[in-house]
Amino acid sequence: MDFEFSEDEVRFRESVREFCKRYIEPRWVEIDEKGRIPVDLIKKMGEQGLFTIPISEEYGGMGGTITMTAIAAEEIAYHDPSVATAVYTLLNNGWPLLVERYSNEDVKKEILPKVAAGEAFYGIASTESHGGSDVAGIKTTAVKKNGAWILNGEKTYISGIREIQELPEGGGYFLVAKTGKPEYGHRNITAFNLIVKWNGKIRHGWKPTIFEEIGRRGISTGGFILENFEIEDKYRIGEENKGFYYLMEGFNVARILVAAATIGSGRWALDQAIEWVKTRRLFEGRPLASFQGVSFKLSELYGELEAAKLLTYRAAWLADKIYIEKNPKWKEKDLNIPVALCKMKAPEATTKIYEELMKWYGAYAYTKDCNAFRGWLGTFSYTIGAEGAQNIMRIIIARDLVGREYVKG
Amino acid sequence: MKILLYGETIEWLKQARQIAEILNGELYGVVPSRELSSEAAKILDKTYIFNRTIYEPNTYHKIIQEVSEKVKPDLTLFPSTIKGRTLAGLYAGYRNEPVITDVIDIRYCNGRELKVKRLVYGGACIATMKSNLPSTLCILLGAFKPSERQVNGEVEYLKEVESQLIQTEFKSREYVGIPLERAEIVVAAGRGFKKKEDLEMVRELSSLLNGAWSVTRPLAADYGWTDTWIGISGAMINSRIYLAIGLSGQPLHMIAVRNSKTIIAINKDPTAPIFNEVDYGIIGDLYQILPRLIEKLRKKQ
Amino acid sequence: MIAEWIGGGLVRILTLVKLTVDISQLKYESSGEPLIDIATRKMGDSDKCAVEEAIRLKEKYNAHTVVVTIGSTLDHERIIRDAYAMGIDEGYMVEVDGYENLQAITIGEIIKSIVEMTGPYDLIILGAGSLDTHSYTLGPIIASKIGVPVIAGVDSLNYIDGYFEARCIMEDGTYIYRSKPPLIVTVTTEANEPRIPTLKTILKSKKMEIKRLKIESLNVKPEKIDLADLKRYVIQRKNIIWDASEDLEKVIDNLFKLLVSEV
Repeated sequence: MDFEFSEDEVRFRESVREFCKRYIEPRWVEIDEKGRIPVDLIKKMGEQGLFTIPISEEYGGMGGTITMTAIAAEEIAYHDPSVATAVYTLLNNGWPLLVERYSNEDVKKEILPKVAAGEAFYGIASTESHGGSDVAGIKTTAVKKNGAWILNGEKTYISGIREIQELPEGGGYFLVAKTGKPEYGHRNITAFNLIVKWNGKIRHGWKPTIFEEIGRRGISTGGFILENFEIEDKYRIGEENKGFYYLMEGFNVARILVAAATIGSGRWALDQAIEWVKTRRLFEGRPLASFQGVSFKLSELYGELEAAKLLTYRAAWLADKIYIEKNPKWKEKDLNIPVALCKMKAPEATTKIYEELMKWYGAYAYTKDCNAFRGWLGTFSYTIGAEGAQNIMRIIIARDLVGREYVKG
Repeated sequence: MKILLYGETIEWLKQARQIAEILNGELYGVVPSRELSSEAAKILDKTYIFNRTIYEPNTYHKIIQEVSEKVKPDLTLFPSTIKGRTLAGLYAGYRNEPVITDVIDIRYCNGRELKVKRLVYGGACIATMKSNLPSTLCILLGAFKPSERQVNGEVEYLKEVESQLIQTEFKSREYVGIPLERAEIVVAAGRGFKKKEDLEMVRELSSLLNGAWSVTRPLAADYGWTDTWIGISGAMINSRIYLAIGLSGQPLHMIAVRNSKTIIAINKDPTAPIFNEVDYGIIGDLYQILPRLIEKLRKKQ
Repeated sequence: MIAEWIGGGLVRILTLVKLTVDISQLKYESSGEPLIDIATRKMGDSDKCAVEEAIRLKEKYNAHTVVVTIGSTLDHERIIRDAYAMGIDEGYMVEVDGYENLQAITIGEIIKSIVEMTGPYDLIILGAGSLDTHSYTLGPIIASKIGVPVIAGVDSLNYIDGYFEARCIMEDGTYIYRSKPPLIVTVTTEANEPRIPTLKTILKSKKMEIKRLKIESLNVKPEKIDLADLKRYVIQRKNIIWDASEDLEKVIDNLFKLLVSEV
């Protein structure tokens, strides 16, 4: 077991850090406050090669690994602790990987280079208003007609709605819709590259709305209605009725990156805490750090964060073995438990750090002068849901430990 | 022992004289200014004057080189400014002798050896080194007290300088008030200031205190709010009072201000590094403190 | 002395990079001794600007760029590869013991030897002063040794109609120098914003060769710095802190009284 990052990974992390210090750190508060990542920053990130990292150069990708993508997500979140920029990044890295794996060649060459350049957005559209965790229960339909698909339905709590409209080339989603008979359960879902804005025009039948969120505000969240939205069959991802499985693969990759992002934010919070407890003095000039209640807690928080970090990079390592190295020793489903573990631990470890940090700050933390709340709300969103609810993670792990017959969900 | 210096200001010449006292040496100097010749002759045992052309290091070096061949110094001193260090490098390279910069202390060691202390790591550490003579040293201004010893030195006027090796254009900095390097009281503004117009408070405060004011490098070099700044690549100050407002205290800035006798800082971030180096530190918002402070000082006048 | 220089356009550019101690990460023993051995090291900021400047000229004039560093540790390899990732064509590492304690004049001799071996160069460009020793003397030392003029502390460099035009902002004002090649230029961190290597350039730089030169082969006798002591520089300060959040009026009043008494 080698617990060191490779020379490439170290150098890559340095380069991402340098980029973030220059272009993201000075603007992160504004990004969160205004609720927008400026388009010029997205373009710059594309130029720096921060999107499509694990996609091969053949399709305009960077020829890197999922571990490197996790490193990028972590560093970006360290410099934008609200995690909005890191989430924008991980979406445009994780879901394109599924596009590369299962889409039509022409479509890959059409979509991926634009995502790489930061000119188009690519995200995930799975959740519907009656359920996010319950994927098999989706109601959006796709009906085949004359070699094309007609989609009807509604998706909600989807990231990137505004960005797609603002970016010159637009973009779209890895979308899942019901295509088969209801009795087949989750074997009747098909995945599509739903490109909603292309060549500067919003395609007919896509009606978006945008929500106002309490945190992680830099990246937009919203929903859309599909009204007889037509796409050619070549935009279908993989085989008909196999969409559920591809979706689960995509979630596995995305969850690793989400965990990495929350860890980056948690590291920032921990660094703020360390500085604060050294300098803040109370009760006759004693620094906070000299109170055991504080220093003990700090140690525990660090321990939780380190543990979550190791779980995350272990999952990333395994994901690389499967998806990048294509090592036959491991299968896609081997990723389920390692991913569930890191996705369960990382946001929880991080939000705990923020809670303690804000308690140590005291009343200051409750004012907007203090920016800790932005990280708290941003990482908290990943304990609520988003890319996999925490309790679903627990079901996945429990099922593996005691067996399906005991754990119905 | 023979000491040769290059200098442009009388303050520096007096500090170099102090070094000559410590080392018991004769002090010779190259000074690029006719106006200073009579004053310099009171400080240096022999002064070589040349006509001040626009500073161009390669040309100036040729002149210093020629003088050094006449004087044959054991030790050569330059001020540790940008110009001084550039000329020192050209000089030491030509003479193939050691050069040490940012020097704050010099002692005799044995015979032909000096023990020299210099600042390194942006001023975070002091390195003590031994240097065999002949050597070149760049002295941090303000590290040595000016000597008041007076002599009756000779003056030699060097022949007219030939045309420069490189074409040069020069635009002088506009001095408003006291030059920073000589000011007793200095007020400095850092990135805590949000707008260029807010520097007006700093200007007024420095005026009420009869001092000079400047900024840290980012405000000049990045924002373009002023031409000059305080830092290792800008002005180094030796004031009695240094008031740092809204600046965090980065090493390459602090190295230029540490010689000040009393350091006072105002910053709203209690974790700012400058609070480790202050005599008096105020944790507070400059936008709340400065206006009231200025008001009180105005009233007193 | 280099007898002949390539005249006409910009053909060959040499840049130097130094592996410097990252002073922002420096830690100390309780005795005040800095922990140099375990300190992180990196390419200095002004060196990055020198490399960036060289690459910009390369892109404009199709010049061949070379980078040199003194020392051959893994960290040195990394900074050469970082220079490659920014776009430098060719690189050398000089194998010498105690690279950190070499006198500046020795480094000047080494560079002179390398220039004789691999030159001539139209431009030699390096950072004005390193983060750790900030002496600003290396560029001028090299200039003296190879007989080429130097312009030090440049924050803006252009090459127009066969002339370099360099701007230096100094204590007394702004200087603009114009000179034909060959020239030595040292740049400040204000000169440009160095490009950040991308993953693609990082991976590509791994495959490029780094040439090694032994100091013996350069005919240079290394002169070491005789370092007697290295300690943290601490000036004892009063360290009296007033917190305005407790009582703003009182703090302002304290400051006012302090300034009035001292002035």
